[in-house]
Parts: sequence; structure tokens; C-alpha cells
Amino acid sequence: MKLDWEYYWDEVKKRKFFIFGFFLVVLLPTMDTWIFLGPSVRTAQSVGIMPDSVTTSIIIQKAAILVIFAVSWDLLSGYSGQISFGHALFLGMGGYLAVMIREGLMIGDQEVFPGMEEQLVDIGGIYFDLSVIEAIILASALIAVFALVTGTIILRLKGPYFALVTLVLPLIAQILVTKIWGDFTGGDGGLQITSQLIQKPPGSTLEGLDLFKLQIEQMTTVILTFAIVCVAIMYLLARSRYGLVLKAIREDEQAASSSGINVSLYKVSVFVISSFFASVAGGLLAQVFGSSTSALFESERSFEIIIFSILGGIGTILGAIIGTFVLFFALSYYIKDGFVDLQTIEVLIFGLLLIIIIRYQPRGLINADPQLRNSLFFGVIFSFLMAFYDTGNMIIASTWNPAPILQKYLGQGERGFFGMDLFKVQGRMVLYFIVGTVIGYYGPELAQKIRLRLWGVWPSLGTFDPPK
Amino acid sequence: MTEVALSVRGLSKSFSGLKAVNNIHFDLKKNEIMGLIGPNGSGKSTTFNTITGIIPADSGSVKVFGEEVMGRPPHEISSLGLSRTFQNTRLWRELTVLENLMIPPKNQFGTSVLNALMPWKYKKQEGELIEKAYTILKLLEIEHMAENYASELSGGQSKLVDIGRLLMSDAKILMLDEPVAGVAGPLTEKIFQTLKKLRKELGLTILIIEHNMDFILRKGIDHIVVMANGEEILNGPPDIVRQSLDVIDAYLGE
Repeated sequence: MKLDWEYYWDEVKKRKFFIFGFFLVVLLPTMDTWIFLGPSVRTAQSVGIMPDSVTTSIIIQKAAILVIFAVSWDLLSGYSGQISFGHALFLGMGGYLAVMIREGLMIGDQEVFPGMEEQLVDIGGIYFDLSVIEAIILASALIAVFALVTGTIILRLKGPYFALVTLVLPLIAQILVTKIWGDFTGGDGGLQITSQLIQKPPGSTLEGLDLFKLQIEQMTTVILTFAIVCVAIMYLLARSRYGLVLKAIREDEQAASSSGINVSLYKVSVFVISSFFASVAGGLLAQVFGSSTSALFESERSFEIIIFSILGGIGTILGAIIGTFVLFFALSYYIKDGFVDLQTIEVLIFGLLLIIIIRYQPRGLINADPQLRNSLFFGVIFSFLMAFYDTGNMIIASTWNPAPILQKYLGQGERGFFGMDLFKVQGRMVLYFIVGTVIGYYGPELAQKIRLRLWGVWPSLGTFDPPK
Repeated sequence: MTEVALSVRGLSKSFSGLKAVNNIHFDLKKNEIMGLIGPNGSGKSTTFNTITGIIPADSGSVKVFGEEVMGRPPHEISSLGLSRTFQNTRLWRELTVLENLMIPPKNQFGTSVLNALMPWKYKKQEGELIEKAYTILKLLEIEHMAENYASELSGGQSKLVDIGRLLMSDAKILMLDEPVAGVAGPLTEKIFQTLKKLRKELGLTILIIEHNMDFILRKGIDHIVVMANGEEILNGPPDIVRQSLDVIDAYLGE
């Protein structure tokens, strides 16, 4: 397994425009205070071409947290093959326990645990409360111990039986926190966070919206740091012999066992590691939401990341990251805006997408054939940029634009349906996105060139051979 | 007297009334090649499975280098230096051939969680293992397939990778379940010569299940156990087996 850096560098260079474009789309809105870029970004935001930096920051925060969560699921289910349908159990436990440890725990009038002292620190201009982070890590460590105990028991079950148990556990937890332990979990309302992670710097003159904006951006930095560290640890694990042994267990447990691998030890250890990082994600998510509620245990949370990971490529860390970013951004930018009347539309769209992916690209985006992968990547970028404009046919005159018709029947949002375009070039029909979620980007060469040149990414395309 | 590597006493296993293995006794001396033959359904593979702990035996005793292993999990038995192949090759299909060979070696640094986070610690050992893996692949003439997924291999090639996996594991006792079924003739010979060479060089002890009487009865096999209907009907050197009427009966019927 020699690493051929030149090969990877070539791969990166080939996609430099894509990579640049991705960061541009994702991070540009937060650059409104930069020296050179700032003014033009602010102008774009003021006329509504670009989402404002606060919205973008919050989306990045959530996406980064979901990346930790999705990667932790992928390590357990994608690598060791123990498919869990209830990973939200650890997300929720992490959320609740982190808040309890930080804020203290009262049952009735009796104090069980006093809570942690505030420890304000200043690192790189970010003024934050270290005790919140300590609480998150302490809570995750406790949950890892809990996972050690439960894992030893439930990992004896195999395949569908294990999956079934994991499906049930978060439902039990949800009932426990809302109905039975309501005294100290806050019932349906959940546990409110009173101590903020990001604090106002001493001597700062910022007030109101400016302060809020600053804190949101600093929060993003903290969460991105968390995400990078957590994902790096899991990536190293997955890439090492340890990850290889996990894969061997996934492929054939008996063969692994007779090759001298202690299968149950590895399964329990990966369960513990995975639960630790899922709890970290839970603790951070509670910070973003401002409270820990039973919604953290929802099975939607579990299924969401399963779909993200499968789309990106199950059994690869990079796949989970890319899948999460791509789908979560698609979800936040388009789908929710596009269908304001249909609140749970994402379940429908993700479900359909899952079926399509499993049928046509079961190994995910990261393992797709390069042609399709490129077209998907470009498609996503293109659809992001399309979303910044308020009309459906801003670049190429569509022969037929279905957006208004669909809007009429399904409800209209601020940026609805702009990713969708269906038109005829050189006698061939080109269909690309449906509500921002890419289903394909097959088109004749001409259309490809027009689009890619417009976005400055044309040179990176190289040879293009549209499927006949 | 030479040391006994594997000693099996009164091994029995029945599946809901059917006696698959009934009271098997044999001793495998160190540095010996033993064949286990018998017609279909005679309990050869079940014997293997019970010895290696994949299937728990009903009664009996199995000692590996004098240590009782009955009732212990497969990975512990394997760590005493006993490795096996399966009749239907069970490679890790979504791993490459090279990765398949990288799993069995014992005492790898990178397999523990903490060391896995420090790539520089296991890099050197990994390099040595990769070199060893390539030597073995060269020996088995499948070097060109090293980077392919195991699922892309043909049946014969899979058998070879399976044997390669065994050779990587530094085992003292190799248990081969039909190692050459589906492998082309000349390569069969080569595998057999390799096994004999390895036995001489590394002092390996080898136990082979085989259908192919030509393969098993050739010179070089020290003794043979013949099984039929779960019973051990003969235990002796190849010459005796070849002349035995019991064996001919078992294979050809009454």
C-alpha cells in the first residue's frame, strides 16, 4: 500500500477548478469581512445573489457535525459491517449528557451533580468556554463506557437481528427522556443550554446583530476544528491495519476468526469508538440548537446519515464526508426552501434518491465511474450557483421550463426549483437537476461546453464523451 | 521420539442424530505431512471445523503442541500456530489480493487502536510484510493480480491466494482443505513441491484433505487417515492405504 503522492497530486490538479468551485460555493458567503473579497461578497449578498454569511455559517456548522456523525456510522457499519439503524441513540445521549454535565443535574430539589465551573479561554481571538468542550468530551467518554457494556451484549447478534435491536434502542431512549425521566430531562421541552460555548470577548464594543454574526462565525471555526480532528482520527483508524481487519470481519467473520483475529474484540472496540464520536456530534448539535430535545433520538437522524454515507460511498471515509456535504447542502439550499408547504419533503426525496443510488451506483459517488462522478460534481456546483439567482433560466434560454408549473402545484419558495432545467440542444434532450438534487448531467458536448465555460471550469473538463 | 504437534482423541460431533464425526483418533507428529481422505460426506471437513473451533465438538480432546484447545474460540486456537483453509475458498472478497495476504500475520503493530493513529510506527513492519507477500505471490504465480479485488479472481486463483494467506500467517501447522481442487495440473505439482520445501525449511506440519487420490498417494506423504461415514477406517502409510480393500470399498461401494 505505497502512497503514490504524484498520482494524487495529478488527480487534485485535474480537478482544481472543481475543488476551487466547491470551496467558493461553500465558503464564499462567509468571506464578507475579508480585505479584497469582502466588498463584492457584501454586494452580492445585499442584492440576494448570495445567501448571507449567517445562514451559510449555520449550514456549515450542521453539515460539519453531521460529517462527524456520518463518518462514525460509516466506521461501524461501512467498515465492520455491523449495520446500525439507530445510531441516533448515541447522538441523543451525547446531547443530553453533555448538557447535564455542564449545567448540573437536579432531581426534584436534590442536587445530584453540581455542574462545571465556567472556564473562559482565548485561543486565536476566539473567546470561548472551555468547560463546555470538556463536558462534551467527558459525556462522550461516559457513553463510550456505556457502549462497551451494551456492545458486548448486542454485538453477539448478527446481521438483521443486530440491526433490529439498534432500531429499537433509540425509540426506547426517546420514551425514557420524554415520558419517564421527565423530571431531569425536561420532558418534551428538553434541556435548555444556559451557558454558551462562544462568549462575548471582554472589552468588545459589538452589539446586537454584529455580535451575533461574530459568534456564529467563531462557532463555525470551533465546530470545523472539531470535525477535522474527529474525522482525521477516524480516517487514520480506517486506513490502518485496524481498518483492514474491520473490513475482513465485514467480508467473512469465520475466515477472519480462523486467521487469528479476535472478532468480538474488534467489533466491540469499533462500536465504542463509533459511539464516542457520535456522542461528540450530539454534544455539538445540542450547542447549535441551544437545547437537547428528544428530536435528537429521531430515527430520521439515523436514516439521514445512512443515506448520506451510501450516496457518498459506503465503507469509505471520504464518501461519507462528500455525501454528507453534498446532500446536506442540497437539502438546506433548495429542498427546504423549494417546498415550504411540504415540511418533510426531504424524506421523500432522500428515499427516492436512495433507491436510485442503490440500483445504479451501489458503491456510491466516490466509487462511481469517473464520467458519472465528474458530472455529478459539476452538477452539484452548477446547481448551487444556479440557486443564487432568482430565475430558472438565467444562462441558457430554456425551450421549456417546468419550474413555474411545479411551483404552482407544490408551493413556491424563495429559491425553489432553480436547479431544474430541461431543454433541447442538437436534437437531444438534456435533463439535469430535480430540485437541486442531481439526478444526472448527461448532455451533448455543446451544452456541456457552454455551461462549464460560463463557470470558468471548462479547462478542467478534459475530454468529454457524452453517453449515447 | 519426535514431538506430537496435533493430537486428536475421541473426537465426535453429531448434527441432530447424524454422526458426522465419530470417535476419531490420530496423532500428527511434528514435521510430518498427513493426508485425510474419504468419500463425500465422510466427515473430513467437519473434523477440520471441530479441530479449529469453528464448530464446537460434542466430545473428545484436541491438543495443539500439548495444549488442550477443546472449546476455545477459533482465534485463540489459531494463535497457537494452527492455520487452515476452507473447502469453498473464503477470501475477503472486497479486499485486494495483497490486502488479503496482509491480514493473517500475527503481532502487527497497526492492528491496535492506539498504534493505528501513529502511521510512522507501523510503516516499517508493513513494508517488510508487503515484501514477504510479494515473494509468496511470485511463488504462487499470481503476482500480477496483487492489486485486484479477490472477487475478481477465478476459482483456482482464489485457492492459491488462500494458500498464500496460510503461508503469510507464520503458522506451525497448516490444515489444507482440498488445496488443489480446481488448480491446473503443473501448478498442483508446484504447490506440492512448495509445501514439501517449506516443511523442510521451516519445520512445518501439514494436514491435507484431498479427494484426488493421485495427489495424496504420491511419495512424500507420511501417513494417511481414511474416513468413511464419520468413522476412521484406516490409519497408516500410503503403501498400506493403496493396497487396502476397505479403502477401495469405501470409495467404490460394495
